[in-house]
Amino acid sequence: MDPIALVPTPDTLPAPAFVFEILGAATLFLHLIAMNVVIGGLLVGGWKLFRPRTSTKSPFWKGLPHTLALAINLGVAPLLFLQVTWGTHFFTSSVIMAVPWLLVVPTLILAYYGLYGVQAGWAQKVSAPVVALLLLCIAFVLVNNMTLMLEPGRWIVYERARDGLSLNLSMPLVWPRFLHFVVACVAVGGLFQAVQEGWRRWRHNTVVRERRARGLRIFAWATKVQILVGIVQIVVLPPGLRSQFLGKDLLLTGLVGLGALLALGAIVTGQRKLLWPTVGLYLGTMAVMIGLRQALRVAFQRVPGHLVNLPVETDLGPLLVFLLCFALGLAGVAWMVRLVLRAGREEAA
Amino acid sequence: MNYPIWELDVLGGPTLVALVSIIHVYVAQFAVGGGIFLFAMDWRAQRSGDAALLDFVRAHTRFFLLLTMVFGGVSGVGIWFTIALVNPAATSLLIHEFVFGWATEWVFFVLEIVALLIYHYAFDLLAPRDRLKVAGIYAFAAWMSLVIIAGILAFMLTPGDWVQTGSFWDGFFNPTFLPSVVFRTSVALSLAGLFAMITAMRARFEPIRKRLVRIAVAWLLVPVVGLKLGGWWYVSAVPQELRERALQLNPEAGVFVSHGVAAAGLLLVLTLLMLVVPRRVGRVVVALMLLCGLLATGSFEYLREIARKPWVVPGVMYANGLSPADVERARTDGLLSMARWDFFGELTEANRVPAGRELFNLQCLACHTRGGIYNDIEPRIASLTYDGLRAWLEGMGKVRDFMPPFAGTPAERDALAAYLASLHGKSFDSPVLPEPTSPRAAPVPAQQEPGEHVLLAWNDLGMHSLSDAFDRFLLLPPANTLEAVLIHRADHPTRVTQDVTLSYALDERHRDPASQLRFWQHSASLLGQPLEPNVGLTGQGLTGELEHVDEAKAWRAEAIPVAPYASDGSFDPYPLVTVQAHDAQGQLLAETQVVLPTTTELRCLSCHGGPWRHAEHQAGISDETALNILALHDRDQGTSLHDDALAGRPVMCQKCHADPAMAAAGDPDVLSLSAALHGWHATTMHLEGAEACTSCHPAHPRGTTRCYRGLHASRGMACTMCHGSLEAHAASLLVAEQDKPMAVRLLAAVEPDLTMAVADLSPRTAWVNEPDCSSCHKDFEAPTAYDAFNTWAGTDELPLFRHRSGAMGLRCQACHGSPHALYPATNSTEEHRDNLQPLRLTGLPFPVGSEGSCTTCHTTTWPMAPHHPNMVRPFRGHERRAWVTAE
Repeated sequence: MDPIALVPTPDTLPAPAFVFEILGAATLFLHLIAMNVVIGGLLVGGWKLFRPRTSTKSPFWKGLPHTLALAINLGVAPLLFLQVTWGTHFFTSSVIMAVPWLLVVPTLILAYYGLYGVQAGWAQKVSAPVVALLLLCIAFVLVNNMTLMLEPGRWIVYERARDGLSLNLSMPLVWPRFLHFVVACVAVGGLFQAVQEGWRRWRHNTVVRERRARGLRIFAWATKVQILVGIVQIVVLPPGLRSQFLGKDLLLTGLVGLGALLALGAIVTGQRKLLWPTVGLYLGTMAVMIGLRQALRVAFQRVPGHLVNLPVETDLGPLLVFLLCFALGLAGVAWMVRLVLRAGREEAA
Repeated sequence: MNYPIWELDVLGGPTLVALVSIIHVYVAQFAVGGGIFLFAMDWRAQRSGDAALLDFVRAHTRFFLLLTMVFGGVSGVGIWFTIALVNPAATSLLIHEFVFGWATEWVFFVLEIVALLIYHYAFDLLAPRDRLKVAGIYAFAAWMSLVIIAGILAFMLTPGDWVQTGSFWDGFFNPTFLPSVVFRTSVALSLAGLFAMITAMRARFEPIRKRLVRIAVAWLLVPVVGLKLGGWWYVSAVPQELRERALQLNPEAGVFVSHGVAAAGLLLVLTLLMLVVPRRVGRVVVALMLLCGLLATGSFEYLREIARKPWVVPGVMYANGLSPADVERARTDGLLSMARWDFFGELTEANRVPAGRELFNLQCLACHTRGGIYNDIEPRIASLTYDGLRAWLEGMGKVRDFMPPFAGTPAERDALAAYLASLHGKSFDSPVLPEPTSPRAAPVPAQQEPGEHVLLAWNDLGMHSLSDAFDRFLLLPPANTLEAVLIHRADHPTRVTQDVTLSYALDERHRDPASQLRFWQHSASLLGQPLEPNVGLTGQGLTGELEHVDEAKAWRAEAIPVAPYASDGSFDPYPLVTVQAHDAQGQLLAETQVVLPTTTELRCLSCHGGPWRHAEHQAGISDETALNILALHDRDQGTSLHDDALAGRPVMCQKCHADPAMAAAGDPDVLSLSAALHGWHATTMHLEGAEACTSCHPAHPRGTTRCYRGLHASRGMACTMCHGSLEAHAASLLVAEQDKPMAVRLLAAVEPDLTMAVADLSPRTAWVNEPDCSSCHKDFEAPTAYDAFNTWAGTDELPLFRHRSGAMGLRCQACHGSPHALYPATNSTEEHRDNLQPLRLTGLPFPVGSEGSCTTCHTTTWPMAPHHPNMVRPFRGHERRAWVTAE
């Protein structure tokens, strides 16, 4: 059976594919940051719990449930846009691993409520690691699905297992990619700690500065490990693809190079305790990595031109309504945040 | 077809979707109404300076956030995950058509989350006016989410002009969009009051609790008007066809209607109770109210889902993800070859069952489970045979139009039927009937010397079938009609109509049918009045007298309760009756013998399963078969015949279905019996031509009755030459009853299989109108064409063969025999049992009067043809040659 023949016939898109790819990348960028903050915060903060004299009432936890709420919310959009341009692949891989994929939902609900428990200080030494573990399980399932959808050749597993219990464990890319996510969480957890400390009014206090420096150190070390994990990810790619990342395809090679440079830059600034340049370089690295992720998806297709060949019947009206609502929604969010900040300032005054 | 299918056998996709979506919708609608509730309560507390109310709002907000944002938000994602796994093709359609609708809804979702978090965490930080603005933003954003989702859900029920235009706006602003928004908003507002009671109950001080509960209850009742109006508007906007399907035709619907109405009613009662005696109301009652709300919401959502069955989007995609074009293509190309995940290649005898499983996955698993907890296919097919399953599949999408039509070739249909039969360990081959037994050898009766009188008798129909599962239902009672003429032999013979007595006596072995049939035990329930054992519907017994009926130009004994079972239990579908004519002094004038054909060889079991009632005779409807028929009738028509029968209250089909054969008027809104039976089965039978007829009627060439045994049978004429195909036969009956909705539905279902336009069909009533002999025998000549369908006898100008007389007033049947047993007939028991009369009178098995046998009745030979043209000539055909050779 030719694996390419298993790729379903796509439905017609209401706008060119690049619109959804851009929207997907933009929202995924925000989702990943928020999710890295939550899991990283739990990992770094959880580790601290086992050190003496750490208060379980730390304000460190306070923002995590809100961030998870936003992370989930921001995860909806990229998944929606993914289904427009890659639904043929995504729906197929989801069915093949239906059970673990569906378990993501109750696991997330459990983790979400657990996070409120962590925030409230309920058995934090247990609850924080458990919530982190639950969220990492979700990440592992997501990595499985996002890699399984790349290779129709691996869908053949459905012939033997139609109960939806399959994972994509035999694909070499799965493990370094998951590790990549875990390490990113640790790095961002460190950075999040540094930002929290850097935000404070008494940020010039020695203790606070030390905490900030510790957060940046965690970030720098994790990013060093991340470079190694990144190299492993390229190494485990199928040879034909690997060569594209190593010079054969200029765009892919360029993105890899740019990402590595930005990451190295972030390591340097992190080690020099320069908080905001590190944050900037981290965001830049994330943006490049997301671009690389999208490019990898295209490169994986044995028959090129998936996105180009999708049937399109552009209907601008709904797109414009969405963009208008999006702008108004952002304005609404900004206005409400401003209200809170202003009220906070007034109360402090 | 496009995507792999998750084999979720036990739980089933629909159950999973229902579980996730009903709970989510319940909480999500609370999220919408709750937002408006919080805004209103905050505003009221601020305006009146009510600190207790403000405390309540604060406490309720935390509960609200934890329930709606965490559970509501994530379970919403859960629905999306679930439908994509259960029906990826449909999900893909909805995503692609409405991606910017979903994206806009996501924007409002973002706004909701941010507003709710700020409202909760900055409740005391924000200035009251600013807090109220944030609450307003939340309420608006949540309601906009409802509006957008309502539009897309309504699209799935009534896509409206979108089907033609494909426009986003036509799809979104569809016919049920606005009523759906009004109805769902009302539901959301009510739910806000319901959930508010949870927080209200937690108030510490009794007076405050009492006041808060009252506020919550009042809030719950306010949208009742909107609920009622919105609900009415919503239901009105749904096309009648879908409404009927949801509420009447789909057997799944009833339970949801009753549960939904009961839950809503109980909720209303409890609400009023709380308004009157809030002090006594405890948490259990609140929990009960929440459960009622969940049940009512679930029932409504399920009914909405059922209403659009068999579609995901009406006219566009069936529930199994196939489009009408896919179904059409599958009929020629085969679904397996169209499916991407085809692991079979060519369908062969050897891989029928696994291929059938694949076809089940592709077409059925979207709604049915295998041994699962909901809509399990196994009990639904348990009683059907392989042939029954083939018929069932053939009928899908026709009258049972809440199911999609079967998509595939006939071979694939049979493979699916084989797989379904294998689930119950049944054979999946059509049974091969044993070779029929040859007629017993019996002496050919010799010609008798003519007397002064000639007595000719006949049975009016040629075969009278009866259904002997009388403790379950009555389709056909034992009721044979015997007719006779007595002719005074002369140069100019005359019919004797008075001063004589004509009596009949059935073969002694058949005079106690009550010992063999349970008809008389159940006659009170079946007929409305009890009958004496061995007495027929009109009071006739197994012996008795005939009465002269002037308009019939014959003597008649109507509804003699003949059974095919002799007193010793043996089976003889052709018992002989002796008819005698005596003059006023009691002197025997003439005597004859004729068969009173009757059988119980009704082949319902071919599809409905079960054994024969009398396996050794291949006859009789068994209990199992009968109960299956009733169960299916109940399922499809919403009756309770199965349970009534088990409770000892069997009914006669003619109680509802009019039947001229029994002079039963029936229910004027219900199809007549023949139209219902033929119409319904024409939509399901997979057999063609005469095979379809003989698969039910006792004319199967390998059967024990072989009732089609006359001249036409020996000439190889098929049933369909006179009656038309099953579909045409049914359609001609249905056309006559087009004022009944079921006739229209059935007609639409059989129309594609007709070879002529419905408008060209001549309507007919069963038994009243039948094929006319002269359609083929123009001027009594040998036929040149063989097609009697669509020209019906049964009028004053053109009477039926069985009512008709020749030019001299002699009934056609007197000389030619009964329909389906025209002389010379070949009887399955003894070759010449049907031909006894012509043999004894003329020495030949041919029609009386043929071959120059005028002297049977006339004292001289007549050179002309007084009864009808073309009668004075040798009998034509191979039967004569065979007879002459044998002689």
